[in-house]
Amino acid sequence: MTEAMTPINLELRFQPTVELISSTRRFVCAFFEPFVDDPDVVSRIGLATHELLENILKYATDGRTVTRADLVTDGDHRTLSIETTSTVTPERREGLEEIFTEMASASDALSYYQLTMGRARHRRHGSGLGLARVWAEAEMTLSIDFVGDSVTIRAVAILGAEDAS
Amino acid sequence: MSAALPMLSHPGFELTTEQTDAGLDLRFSGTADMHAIEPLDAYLSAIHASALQRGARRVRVDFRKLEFMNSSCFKSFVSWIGQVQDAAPSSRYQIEFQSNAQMHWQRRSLNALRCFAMDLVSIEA
Repeated sequence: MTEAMTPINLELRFQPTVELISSTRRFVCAFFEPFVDDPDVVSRIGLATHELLENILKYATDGRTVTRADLVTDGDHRTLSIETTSTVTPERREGLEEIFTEMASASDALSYYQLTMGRARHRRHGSGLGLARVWAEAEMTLSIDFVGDSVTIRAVAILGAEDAS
Repeated sequence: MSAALPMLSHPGFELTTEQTDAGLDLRFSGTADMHAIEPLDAYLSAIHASALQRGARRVRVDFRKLEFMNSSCFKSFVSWIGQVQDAAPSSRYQIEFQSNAQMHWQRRSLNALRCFAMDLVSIEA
């Protein structure tokens, strides 16, 4: 049985740079390591953090983000989430809506990932792989919310009791 | 017999290449992030041209000291593998990845590349 535990929350408000993204990935991994037994899960958190923050650097209109990471216990399961909030242009919003619509109609994360890899081959700018990678490799489900020109992308993983420390 | 080829080096990231009897050996270390995207893209295209020119049968890619790779650099590998797929069957070469089990992301990323080109990509743990 999993012991009841106070939710663990981390919130960062900053303007990511290439160097800061790697530092933040390492910090988030180190922060959650004591609470998550499985190093593979820690690695997945790091991957999701890195990819979501690179999207901020590429697309946020003011370059800034509020990034949250939460670990919440719910009975025998724990929910781990990473979310980034930033402001985006209408064009980026449209692009994100297309990506999320496509993901919603995909049969599963791995086949969607292979589909995006096939397309990425011929792309001259950007990879178009970041969110697909979070879904398939970090095994985190993705959701999106828009409020005005602000967008929040949330990646969530449900951890079994065996993953908890 | 082996010979060193030009290296790619940025703060926090390094890629060295050696020519061997069997083909080419690439060794990555550090973090492949946004700074590495364009040079890595160009480098892997040059490696492909070199492999074709030398008639290489395989290119070995050592990730054992690669801490992390972002999706844009991952895409450089997708493009490279695509170039090998597009080559004439007689010119194609195998790409063998050497991975580090302690770097858990590698298993997932490399499996994705293997699924992308089962006939060309192999992974050595």
